[in-house]
Amino acid sequence: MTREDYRARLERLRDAVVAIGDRVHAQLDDAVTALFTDDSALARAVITGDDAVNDRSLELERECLDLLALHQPVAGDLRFVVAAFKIVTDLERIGDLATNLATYTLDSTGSSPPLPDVDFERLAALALEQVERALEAFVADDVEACFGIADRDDELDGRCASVTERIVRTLIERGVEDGGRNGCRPRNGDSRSPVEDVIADVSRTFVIVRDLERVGDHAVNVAARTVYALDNNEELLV
Amino acid sequence: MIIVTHNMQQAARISDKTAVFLTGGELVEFDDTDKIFENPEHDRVEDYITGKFG
Repeated sequence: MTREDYRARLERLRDAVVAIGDRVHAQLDDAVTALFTDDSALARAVITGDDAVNDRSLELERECLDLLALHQPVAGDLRFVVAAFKIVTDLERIGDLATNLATYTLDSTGSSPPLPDVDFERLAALALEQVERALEAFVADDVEACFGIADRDDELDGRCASVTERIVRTLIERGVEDGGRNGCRPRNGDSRSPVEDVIADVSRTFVIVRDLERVGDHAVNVAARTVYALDNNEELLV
Repeated sequence: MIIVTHNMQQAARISDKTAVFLTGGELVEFDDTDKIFENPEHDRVEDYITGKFG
C-alpha cells in the first residue's frame, strides 16, 4: 500500500467517525422525541437501530487496529488514530444511552412526568447540542470549540443536579404535608399502589436525568480526544 | 551506541534518544525517542516520520 493510500485511509476513518457520530445523534434525537411524545414505535426503532451502531463501531475499531498494526502511524497520525478509537467508543456509549431513553418510553405508565415540572426538553436539547458541537469541532479541528464544550458541560451538570434536588425536596415536602398518603396521583386501571407509582415514576425521572448528563460527559470526552489528537494536550482528559 | 538509519520503526524500537537530520544533513531535532515519535516540535520532522515526504 502506498503512502497515498495510507493517507486516504486516515481520511476515510475521519469521515467514518463523523458518520457514526451523525447516526448516534439521530438515534438520540429520536429517543428524546419518543420519550416526550410517548411514541412506542419510534422508541422500538431506536432500540433496533442500536445494533447497526454497535456493528459499525466494531468495524471502526478494527480499522484503527489495522492502521496501527500495518502502518505504525507516529506523531499526529498516531494521536489521531488513538483518538478516533476512543471517540468511537464514546459515540457507541451515547448510542447505548439513547437506547436506555427509548426503553424508558416503553416502560412508561403513560402518565405525564411526575412531581415537579422538570424541564426535560431543555436538558435533552443541551445534551443533543453538546454532541452536535463535539462532532463539529472534530470535523473542523477546532480546539477552541472543544474547550467551549467542556465549559458548557458544567451548565448541563448543574441543571441535572438541580432537577434531582428539586425532585427529592418535593417528595419530602409532599410527605410532610399529607402524611405520606398522597405522594402521587393514583392511576385508573393500574393495580399498583400510589407508593409504587411514585417509586416507578421517580426512579424513571432520575435515570432519564442521569443518562442525559452522561451524554454530555461523552460529548466532552469526544472534545477532549480531539484536543489531544490536534495538540497533544491532555488538559480535558483528566 | 549510535545507530544511523532511515528506518523509522527501527529507530523508534531500539533507541532512547533520536536525532533527526534532514536535507543537507541539517540537525532539525534531537530529543527523547518517545517525544520525537509522539509529538515532535518541528513540522518538517512530523512530515518526515509520518511519511509525507521521504
